[in-house]
Amino acid sequence: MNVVDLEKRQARGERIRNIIGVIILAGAFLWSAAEVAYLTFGPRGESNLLGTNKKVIRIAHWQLEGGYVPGLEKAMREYEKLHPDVAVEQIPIPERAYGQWVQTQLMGRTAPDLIEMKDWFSASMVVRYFVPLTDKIDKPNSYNDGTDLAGVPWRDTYIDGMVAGYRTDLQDYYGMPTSCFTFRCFANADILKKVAGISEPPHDLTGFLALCQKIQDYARDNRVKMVPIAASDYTAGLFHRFYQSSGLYPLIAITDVDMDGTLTNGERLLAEFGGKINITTDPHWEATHKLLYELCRYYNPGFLAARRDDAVFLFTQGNAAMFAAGSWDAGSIRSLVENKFPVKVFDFPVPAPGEKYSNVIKDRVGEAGMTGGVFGLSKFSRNPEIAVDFMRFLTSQKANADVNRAWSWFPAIRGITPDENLKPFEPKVEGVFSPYDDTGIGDDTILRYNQAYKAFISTIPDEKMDYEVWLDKHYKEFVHQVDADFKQYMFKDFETNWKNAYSGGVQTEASLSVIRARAVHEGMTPELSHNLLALTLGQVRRMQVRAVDWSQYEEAKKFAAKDEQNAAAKGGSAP
Amino acid sequence: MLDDGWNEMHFANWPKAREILEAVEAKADNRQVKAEAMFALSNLWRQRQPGSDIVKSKALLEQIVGDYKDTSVAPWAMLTLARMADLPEYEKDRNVKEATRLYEEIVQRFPTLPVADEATLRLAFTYIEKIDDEASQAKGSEIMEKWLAARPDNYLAAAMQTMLGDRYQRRGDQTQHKDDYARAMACWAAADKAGIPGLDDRATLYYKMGNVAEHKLKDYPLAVKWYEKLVYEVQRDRRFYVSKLAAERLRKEAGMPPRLDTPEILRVPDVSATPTAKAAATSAAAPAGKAAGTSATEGRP
Repeated sequence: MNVVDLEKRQARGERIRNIIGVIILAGAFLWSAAEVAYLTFGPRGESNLLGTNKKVIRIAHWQLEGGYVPGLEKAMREYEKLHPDVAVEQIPIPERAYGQWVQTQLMGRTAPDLIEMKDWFSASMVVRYFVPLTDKIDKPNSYNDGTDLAGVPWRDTYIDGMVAGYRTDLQDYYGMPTSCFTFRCFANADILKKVAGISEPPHDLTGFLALCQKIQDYARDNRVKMVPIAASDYTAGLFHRFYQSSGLYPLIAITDVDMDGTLTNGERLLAEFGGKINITTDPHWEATHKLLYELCRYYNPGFLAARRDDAVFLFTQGNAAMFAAGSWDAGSIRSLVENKFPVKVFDFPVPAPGEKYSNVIKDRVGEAGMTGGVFGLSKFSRNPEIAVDFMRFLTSQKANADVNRAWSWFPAIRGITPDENLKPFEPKVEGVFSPYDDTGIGDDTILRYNQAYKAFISTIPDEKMDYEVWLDKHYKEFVHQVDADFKQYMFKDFETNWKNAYSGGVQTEASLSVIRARAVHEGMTPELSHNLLALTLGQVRRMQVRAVDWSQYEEAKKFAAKDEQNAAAKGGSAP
Repeated sequence: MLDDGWNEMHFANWPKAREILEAVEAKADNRQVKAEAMFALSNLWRQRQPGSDIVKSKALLEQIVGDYKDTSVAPWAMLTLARMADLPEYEKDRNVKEATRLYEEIVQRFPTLPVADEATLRLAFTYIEKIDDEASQAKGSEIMEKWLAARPDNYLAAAMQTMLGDRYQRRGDQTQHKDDYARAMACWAAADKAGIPGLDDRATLYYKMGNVAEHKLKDYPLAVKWYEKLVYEVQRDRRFYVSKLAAERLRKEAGMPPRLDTPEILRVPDVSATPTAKAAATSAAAPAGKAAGTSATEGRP
């Protein structure tokens, strides 16, 4: 083939590629046009709805789990039957794109009436784009007429008093929750029966660990591909979260200087450097982390590299006896399991009195305020009263029962008997809380803790050594590493957070100045004085905490310097 | 028209808000309306947005304070100037001296207006924030205590009493004198009476009061009173359970009879009579909605 032929062939190839490109582009355009035409002129298209003079309410969410979209659709049609002049449309958006989509819609002033709120929605974003609901939630929900909740203020019809809709930073209600969420363990009942001869998972920690060991032994002896707990980085995080909250709860008594049940960074610094806590010898740290290590031995190999879906797959394929997840996963897990095996749901086990770890882990973690699936009312809503009315309907006793049954979620409203298979997800308010977080106080300490913790839990025991002796040695190496990292990075993290706290005060000032201007214009109404007091008190308290934090930081610095001097005098450096 | 301008500002539609407010300011023959438009414009120039201009904002406020003294806007404009000096965008630009001067002037010139309540609180805070300076703390306390004596029902009374309580608690931690803690408790009780607006703030206060009464004053009946206030009035708080346990334990230690009424959150609702419950009970055995086989989402809804 000569050069001319080659050039001709290349030119022809390029033409074909161009034609294919144009065809794809045209196809995409036609598909988009058809989609837009359908949405506009189709049976439920906006032009048809507008043509019928219906008021359209749009509701956006990211719940693409099976059952959610059809469940909501059914509720929407029920509502439309009661209100023939209203049309309700849902906009399901994939979770990965949800944040960006919402922000674009809000900034473009094209946001739907109701928007499911992510917990990262900032105070300034909420203040700017969402409507406070306090004046609406104290009135009874008329859709509850004829039930035992008739005449009860809407807020009090929720099992947790609508607390998930309350923004602590703004001291106002901005959201309407729809469901209730908790974390639980799931078990394959067939495996429990076959391996351990039990029909219910154990509630005590010793029994739970013994069961895990039994399953592991069974799998090894019978050369079966089976692990006690299906885990991923995410699942391991759930166990960590539960047991650190429970195990480190007692530390509040020695760290919480002002006794308010919260732990500021200053209090934490003072505890770590002022000699209140020595994490290298603290029994709560030791028991909690040794327990977490023990649990990790029963996870699937390489769990830290596994994705959450891998763990779901392992469990639903019957290759793991147990699994931990949020209650919102229950429906999907059951549907994936289908008729393969019965699933038992149970709480994270805690040690019975006298059992191993019972000296430290005494209580489960409380689940007060666990409602979620929170929808906010956008300031761009053209029909805000109807949008809120639809939420009243959705959170009425009957509709909330129906919709949550379809979603396989636990209802948010009182007086609903959930499906039998949802009962284990009922929130348990009786339990402790821990403001002390072992993972650190800011980016650097958290990063270092996570690195050390992952290395700690993924190391296989040395079979040449006695397990308890080895674990003790292994734990000490881990905790000394964390201690050294905390000592190196805690002050830096503190300084960063301390600077950021100032910005928080400035942001609140912007909201305050708007309310002050309203007070100028309308006079000091009770509503405005309430808002001004709430925001001012919150701001002054945060600035006071910041001032106290700085004083504690300086005190901790002195302790650290003293430690350095002592170490230098002994001829070494402070750890 | 002014309301329209504010509405546009709420929706972050800065150009439209500016257009409306400038039109109101230009056309207004009423001094109050004109001053309010200028006040709104000064707010607009301070918002974080392309073309924000602190200098313009400040100039408008100074114009209101100087030329529109007879309007109700002037005191608030002065307070805004004080806040700009006290809490500027960047902390390095903070001018506490100027802020203090303005707060004092507001208190002196407008002692009966709500704006003076805020100026007093802010003025006191410039002293209270010097945590390790007892003289400064005392001065801040004195400012608030005098003000509360004269205007006990001012709209920021709860905030002032909270600040005072916290200050006496800190002093108690230094001196270990029971008197300081008792004083802190009295201030916090007054704050509660004046009305703490937020649920979380109320729970924080009650939990703290329970703890201080128990551990510092060793006054168990008093501790029970505040722990139970949390248990029965702010029961959805994360501190509910530990407060309940503390109250039960202290009741025993103080020889008090146990409280028999169960907090509402722990009551098992009698739902057997409701139509919904009956419907739910009959359908409880029905299978849950079949999923489409999609993977569950990772994040909590």
